[in-house]
Amino acid sequence: MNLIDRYISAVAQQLPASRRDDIARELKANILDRLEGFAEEHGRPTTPADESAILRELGHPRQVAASYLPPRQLVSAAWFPFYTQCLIYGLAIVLLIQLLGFGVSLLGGGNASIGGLLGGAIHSALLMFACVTGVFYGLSNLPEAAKISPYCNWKPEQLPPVQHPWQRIKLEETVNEFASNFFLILALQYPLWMSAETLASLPVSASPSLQPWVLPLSAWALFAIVFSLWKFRYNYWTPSTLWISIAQNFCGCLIAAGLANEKILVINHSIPLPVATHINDILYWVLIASVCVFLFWIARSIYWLKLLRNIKAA
Amino acid sequence: MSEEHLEKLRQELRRGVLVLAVLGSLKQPHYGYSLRKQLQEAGIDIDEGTLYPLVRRLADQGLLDSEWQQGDGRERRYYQLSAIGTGLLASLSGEWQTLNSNIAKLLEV
Repeated sequence: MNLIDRYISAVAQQLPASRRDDIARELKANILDRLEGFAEEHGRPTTPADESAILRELGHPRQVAASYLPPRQLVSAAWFPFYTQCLIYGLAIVLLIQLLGFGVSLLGGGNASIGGLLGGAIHSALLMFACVTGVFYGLSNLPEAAKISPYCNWKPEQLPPVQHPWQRIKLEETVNEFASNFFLILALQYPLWMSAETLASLPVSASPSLQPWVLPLSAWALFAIVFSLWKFRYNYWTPSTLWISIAQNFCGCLIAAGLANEKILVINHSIPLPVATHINDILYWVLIASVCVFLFWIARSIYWLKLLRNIKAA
Repeated sequence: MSEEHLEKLRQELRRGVLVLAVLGSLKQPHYGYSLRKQLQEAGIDIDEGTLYPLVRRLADQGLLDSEWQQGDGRERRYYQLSAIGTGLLASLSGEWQTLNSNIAKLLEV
């Protein structure tokens, strides 16, 4: 089998059966013409090296075969912006679910490791990527989907009134806030979902002085979760959402400051725990740091409110 | 601007007129290699990897008629404009003339 026939055969393998023979026949005729032209130009017959060079110039058989077929793409240009948006939100949801699962395992005394969290997150993210890409491959290539267009119902009136980059609320901030507050509610309401055996084996438990704070803190965390869901949908700061944020952070600041004066946890000394004797001290400093963070967020929100007022006045 | 960037823009400009150039050349029957030669002599250099699939696509769209012919001991597939292709060429030629004069006015400014 000579080089030309091997090349034609390699191209033909990549073609659908209905078009294979016809294209292969024509391609062979074109290649032989090319070789004939080369021989006339150089005044000598072609050598195997000349044939090889000409075939290389034509291109790899896969590329040549692809040029005879209708163009295909993984995700079309029209769908690509929506595709990247879906991937970003998908990744946020995957990470959120992994964090919440990790939190539940950690609090429930089950197997919870950072390696497990990372492995689970990577596995879920890859699965999400494959599913989303598969859907958009279908939308980009199926004839039935040709009439569907992304963003076909958008209206300029629905665009957010955002003038500055700081007005955009970052997705990672909202995810972090949602996960943290969800974890807090789980921790506060642990008797509701932990089994009696797990409860008995816990090295720490809530002290009586924490009890009056459970309900307001749970309500605050629940409000923060609902506000996070709002920010997922409307991810930009307006004067009203900044006021809500200030009020939320102010309440958080008061609760954290109040809790800092209380002994929050009771240590079960029958179960050895390396940091048992220092846990309330650690919690005290965590709460003081939380107060500082809340005050920073309040100050930042007030600054942004002033900026928005100045923009409006101008 | 780099030579590479300029070459890319030049190719993009030429890509827009390939169909018109091929249809215009196929008022007379040609096979793949002879069509390429004709285009090269007219100053339009197009590589085989682009030309041959393009000619097949135009034939699939009904713009070209084709038939296999024997000559010089080998077979070759000859293409020529179909009736639909002739009509389309006339329309595209008119479109080209209009575009050409509009661009010329813009370049004068």
